Amino acid sequence: MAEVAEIAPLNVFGRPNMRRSNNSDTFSREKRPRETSKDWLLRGMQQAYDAYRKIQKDVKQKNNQLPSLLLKANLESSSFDMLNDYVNRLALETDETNFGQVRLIRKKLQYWLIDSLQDYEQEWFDPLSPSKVLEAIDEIRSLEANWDGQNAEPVSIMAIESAKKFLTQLGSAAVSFEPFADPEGGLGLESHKKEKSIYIIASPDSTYTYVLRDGRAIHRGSKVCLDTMRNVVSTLY
Amino acid sequence: MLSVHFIELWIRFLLFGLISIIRFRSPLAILNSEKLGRELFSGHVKNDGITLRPNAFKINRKSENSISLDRISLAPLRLFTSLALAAAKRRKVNFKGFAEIAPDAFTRVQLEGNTVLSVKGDPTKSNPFHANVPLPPDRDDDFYLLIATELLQYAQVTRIYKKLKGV
Repeated sequence: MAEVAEIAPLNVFGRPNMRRSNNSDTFSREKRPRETSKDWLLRGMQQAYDAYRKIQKDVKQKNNQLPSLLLKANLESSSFDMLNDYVNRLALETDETNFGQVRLIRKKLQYWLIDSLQDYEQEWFDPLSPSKVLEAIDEIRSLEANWDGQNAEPVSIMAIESAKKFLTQLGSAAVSFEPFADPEGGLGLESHKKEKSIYIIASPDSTYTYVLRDGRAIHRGSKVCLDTMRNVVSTLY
Repeated sequence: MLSVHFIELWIRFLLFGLISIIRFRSPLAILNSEKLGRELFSGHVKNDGITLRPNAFKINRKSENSISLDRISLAPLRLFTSLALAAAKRRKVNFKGFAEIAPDAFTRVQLEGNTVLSVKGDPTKSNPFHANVPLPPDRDDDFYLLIATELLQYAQVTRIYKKLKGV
């Protein structure tokens, strides 16, 4: 396999730097070392994949208390691996003469990766991240009796356990739920997706109350079991 | 300082009551042009301070059978704020502002059968501009959760930005 020389730095326009020569006052174009399209593609992919791995590692460190919520991270990982394989094959099959085309494809892939990573990052670190769900639950737990000034009960430990049990069963969809305190001692969860919204209250007796809004249609139920609740939510996510 | 606000609130209510009677109207009747406010405490608002949680209009069936409100357009907001801050201090919670809602929002709530919500004045000793929305008793919890989530659509948070003097 041919050894790849060091690559010249590129300017902001993605072109090789035009530097003033040390020995003369004239501008000279630096000779750009040759890099095969395969290496170029793999380098870009490797960078994106490393960035993705770093995010995944951060998520694992911060949220080791909710391992089931990392399911999405694993799914993302497999899709990145598939993409990596695809780029490998593409580079092998592409003739060096089609360099421009390979470059275009690589650029598109990079944009796709950046978008995926940004979406991923936003989904996991902004308001709905698992760590923030736990933080919010802790905050709710600290509310004392009469927290709403209308004789509200504090959220019971059993209700929190019921809510956690439900969230664990949801897997990756759990990150879209935000908790709130129920005045009757339960722990509420809300989630919104486009025109759909669901509000759930996990009660201390391990039953669930819900209101599901799908556009103008409203479905609701009281004292349903965990399996029923999971089925209702599965219609949304 | 609370007593000063308390007295001012009652004087304003008596004047309002007098004007209402002169106009052949009950001071307890709530016009659609009024604004109502639900006092918000720590657990009612999300961290951004402007988004309501679904519990803002949820009641505890064991201790209440109505949604409690203030008629905030009939007196300066500082008076209601002072009452709410005093209540928050007693309960060791933080007062976050008011969930402002129009009276006709309650009639727009879609419930099964012929159930229609209505709001009426219900003066209390501590707050003469208090109002209530009676809710039907003995319903399942999903009924009250539905009302709470319906009202969320019509309410918005009025934050208390400035530290009020004498509160």
